[in-house]
Amino acid sequence: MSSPIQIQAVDRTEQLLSQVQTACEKQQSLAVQGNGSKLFLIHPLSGECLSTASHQGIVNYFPSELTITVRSGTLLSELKEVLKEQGQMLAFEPPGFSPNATIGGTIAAGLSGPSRPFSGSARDFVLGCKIINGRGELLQFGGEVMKNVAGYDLSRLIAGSYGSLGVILEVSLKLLPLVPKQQSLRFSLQPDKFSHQIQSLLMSGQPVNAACYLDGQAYIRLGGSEQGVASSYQEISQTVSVQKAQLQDVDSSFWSELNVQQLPFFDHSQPLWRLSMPPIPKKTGTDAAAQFLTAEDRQLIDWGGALCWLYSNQPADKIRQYAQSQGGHAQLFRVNEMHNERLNSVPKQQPLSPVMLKIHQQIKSAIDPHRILNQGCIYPEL
Amino acid sequence: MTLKIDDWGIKNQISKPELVQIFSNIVPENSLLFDAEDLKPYECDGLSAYRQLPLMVLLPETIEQIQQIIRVCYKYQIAVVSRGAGTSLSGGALPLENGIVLSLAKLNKIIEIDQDNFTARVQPGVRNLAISEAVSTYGLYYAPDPSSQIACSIGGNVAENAGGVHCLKYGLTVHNVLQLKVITMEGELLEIGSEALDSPGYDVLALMHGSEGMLAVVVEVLVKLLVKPKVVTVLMASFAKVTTAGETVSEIISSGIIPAGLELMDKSAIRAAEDFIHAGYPVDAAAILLCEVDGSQAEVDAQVTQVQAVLQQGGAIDIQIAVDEAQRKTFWAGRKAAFPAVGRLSPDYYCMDGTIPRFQLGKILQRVHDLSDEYGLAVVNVFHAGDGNLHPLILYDANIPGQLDQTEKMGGEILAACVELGGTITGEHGVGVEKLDQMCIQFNAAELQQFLDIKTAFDTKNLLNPGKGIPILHRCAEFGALHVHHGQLPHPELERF
Repeated sequence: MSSPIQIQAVDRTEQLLSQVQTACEKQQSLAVQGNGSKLFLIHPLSGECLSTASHQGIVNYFPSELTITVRSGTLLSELKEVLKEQGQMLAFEPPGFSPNATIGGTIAAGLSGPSRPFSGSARDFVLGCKIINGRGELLQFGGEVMKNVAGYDLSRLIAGSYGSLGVILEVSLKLLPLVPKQQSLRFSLQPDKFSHQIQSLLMSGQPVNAACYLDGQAYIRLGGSEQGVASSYQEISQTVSVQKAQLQDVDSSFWSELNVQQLPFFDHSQPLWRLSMPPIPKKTGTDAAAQFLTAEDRQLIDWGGALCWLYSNQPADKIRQYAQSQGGHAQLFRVNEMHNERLNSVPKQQPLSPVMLKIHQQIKSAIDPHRILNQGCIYPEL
Repeated sequence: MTLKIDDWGIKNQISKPELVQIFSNIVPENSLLFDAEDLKPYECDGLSAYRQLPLMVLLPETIEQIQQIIRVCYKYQIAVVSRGAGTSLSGGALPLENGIVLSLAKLNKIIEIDQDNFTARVQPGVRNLAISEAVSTYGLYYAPDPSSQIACSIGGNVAENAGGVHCLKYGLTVHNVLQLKVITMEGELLEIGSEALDSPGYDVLALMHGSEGMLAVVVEVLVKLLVKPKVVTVLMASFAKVTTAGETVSEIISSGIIPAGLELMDKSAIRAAEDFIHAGYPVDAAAILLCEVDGSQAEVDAQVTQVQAVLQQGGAIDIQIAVDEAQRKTFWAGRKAAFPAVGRLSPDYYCMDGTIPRFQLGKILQRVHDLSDEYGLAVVNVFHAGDGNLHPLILYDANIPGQLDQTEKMGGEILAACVELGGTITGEHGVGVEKLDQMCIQFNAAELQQFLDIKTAFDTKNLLNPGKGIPILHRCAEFGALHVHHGQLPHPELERF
């Protein structure tokens, strides 16, 4: 038996606390980050750097409880290895985007991978957290149990807040057992049939745990017991042959490359947009997607139709209006700095309604009244 | 009676007759109750030990009426207690003497079922079970299933972040809601979340869940639906010792299986349920585990074999697999009827809701047992074993002077023990008015102040369900459990209501 992975334990709570308290007294901005692997998702940070990268280690891990509490600077890659040794995983498949991605940054960015529609999102797996708020106070919310309704759910609020609602020191996460057997396949399909095809596979009880569409091919990952996956593969094979398509096997690495955007599709210099929308648009009589897309646009559909990765030079407003008209939103995900100066001033995330923005400002003030933590990183008003 | 509602310093700026006059221009006559006799049915929720008549009850029929009512309350500083079906077990919907009860019972329509995207848009007063019934013909269902699902409303489920027996695999309410429409205390309509799987900005959707009606009034809910599993079966295993059953729960989960449901009942619960429902439970067993697995036929067959092996290794003295759907339902009927069954054993019972890490099960059961001896009050244990959520039922008789006080004291000790063992004071029933003192044990002063600041971020005048959920710091100081560091209260400049 191989020796268990050791993650070095370094507790930097006192130093981090003192840095926030000093900044709070002087009302000076702090640029809160881990190793900065996902800084491209937010607007530039100002102020002194506060890095949680060296605050590392596993605080508590009881595999039989399906929970772990880990310090924010712990590397995502190391954490995944520790879990794998125990036959467990982070079921939301967080993309790291860099070997030095930390778990703190992962939760702060709130990103989830291909399994998202079937297993849940990053915030769905957050059970608790320890943070330093903008007043320089050490606070702990939630816990290490699956169910907890004592006090407001500030732990899940912290997920996806990009460090602007507190410096994440520790997170407690729900884990799941590794899926015993996974098998991936692809077959050719008309683009407008994809979402319906996935819904119909789900309706027939197939254990789909990832589904994307690229260049005329539907890619599907099945997950479950050996027997369950085998029988499902047979059933799908029969269904697809009725449609006169052929099932082909796909290597599991396809999904990890999709997740961290290493597939050839992602090799583009145009701005990359992330459109999160309901999989099947309301029947309006017109094909809104066909009307919106130009010949230059290139798209990859993930999340069984609920997520669209779009390389497009269309104006930001037009992309946002389209996403909104479909019941979703658009995020400017990656910009090639050399070619896209015009996009530097464009907000990364879809603007909020005035009422929602006001609530956001009040939440921010309640936690970080002097706005010292990652000021303006999501919206200039926060 | 030990009820103590904190005075949040709210002073109504209008008399009751004037208020009746204003509201009668907003809602029809039969939607406005203000005579003591009419108010009586609203004096308590599922935690009937506490009762209080409200100033009046309003039963609006539209979102616009709710907005108008809220604006009036905001203007004249009237506290608002939202109420769904009134099944809360923690007094979350307990009225306030000078406040109104805003009943959402008349907003009970299913607005739209989106068969393509597996969602249903419903009004807050729709019953939990009614959603699953309405979408059943499409092969879909709504997963969270609190025991009160036949009566409880979806708006209340959001307020409490309700769970149920299937939440280990399928999640809590927060995992199964995509969007909310809420009215803020300033009367503004706010859309939180969307039809997509995520939304820009902060996760306000998560924050709303379990906020016990203190941040906004939920007026519409878009729920996620799941495809009904093709095959479902349940295994019932009997054990000679309750701790062995508890350890086997951890073994099942360690073996890589996430059952759809995993429930534990102790001897008294088995007997009470069997006498009541005749589910075929083994009355001589010290504990039973009910383990449900679902999926395709091949998946279920594989899991049943695996679970059976773990149960045998864990020391189960008998294992039964439901032979058909009827028997599966009967096995569950006993569990679902455990509370009313216990109601037949004792004039009153008090339901606790602590949660602990599963490996602490042996310790907490011992502690509950010791407390039961110490107080001379019998306890029945039913338990969402899969997620460590305990529901000890303390049996008492409210007609015996002092026994309710003793029961509450004992309950408080059980919850303190849950916190000590790394758990929480409430898994799914909420804090309400019931566990305010225990909040002082679970959280320190700075954390409680942070909660109060969040409340104020949504509700500047503190008019939404004031006095529930989060204790004011003064109360904790009196309770003697406030974690004050070096005698310093956080933010001494702030008024303590």
